Amino acid sequence: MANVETEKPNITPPSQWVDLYGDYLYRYAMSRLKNPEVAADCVQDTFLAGIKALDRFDGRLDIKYWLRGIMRNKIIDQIRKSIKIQTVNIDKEDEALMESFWFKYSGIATTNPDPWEFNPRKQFDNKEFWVVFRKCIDQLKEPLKQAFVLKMLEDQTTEEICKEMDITPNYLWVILHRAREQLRGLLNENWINKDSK
Amino acid sequence: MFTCKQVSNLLNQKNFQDLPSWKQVLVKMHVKCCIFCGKYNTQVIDTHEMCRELIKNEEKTHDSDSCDVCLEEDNKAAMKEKIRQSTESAQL
Repeated sequence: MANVETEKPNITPPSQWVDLYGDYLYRYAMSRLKNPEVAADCVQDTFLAGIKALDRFDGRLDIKYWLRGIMRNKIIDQIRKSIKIQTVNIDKEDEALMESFWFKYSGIATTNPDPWEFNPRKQFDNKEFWVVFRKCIDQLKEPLKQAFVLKMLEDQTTEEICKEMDITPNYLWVILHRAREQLRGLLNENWINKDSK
Repeated sequence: MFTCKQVSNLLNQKNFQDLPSWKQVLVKMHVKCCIFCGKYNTQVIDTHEMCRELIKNEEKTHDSDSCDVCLEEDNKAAMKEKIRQSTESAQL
């Protein structure tokens, strides 16, 4: 039992967390929440939760990424709260899509979607592209944006998102389809035409 | 070989990159050949790949000191004070 104490991981003291990890966590929170006040609160809550949970830190991860893990859950909670304020309505067009032959037969909306006007993979090394891509995600309409961020960036399961949004998996599929359509339009507009703006 | 419906369900449940590699191969083969779901599901996979790359790219940016998004000094001071109080009360 006496060895347990000596096997504890080397932990950066919480008094140094703000200077070492504050900006990193704040940038992460800002990339998801877009609100400086909410993002700063999220970082502070993360540090305080980290202090409370420090006994459970096992040293397998760098403490920076351990704190980020705590903050990720707080960000997801924030997004969930914003979902609860809104009601997700199904319109007639969405109902028709879920009843369509292609959706029922093969789980797609159309055999011939509008194409990308550029090759996405050729942009992967272009830093400017990722700035535009992120801005386009931020421009998605609610609740498409919330569903898209939770599913594609925060890796939430279909079950978790459906429960939070109080929708069926089929309707989540429709929402993600609409989000992708909007995103493709925004990217075609903002990336292809970036030089003319 | 998967059916169109199975491919669509797999891509709806998980990001393409998170599928086991044997499933990735079968899904890729299907969408390359399929005249029904090929174009649509290729775009779904493209979006998955772009989001994965965005996360990697943002990770680099968040780690970079040259990024101009930073906590304000007032916020930092307030956080340090809260941490000090919290650490002290945890030690009591």
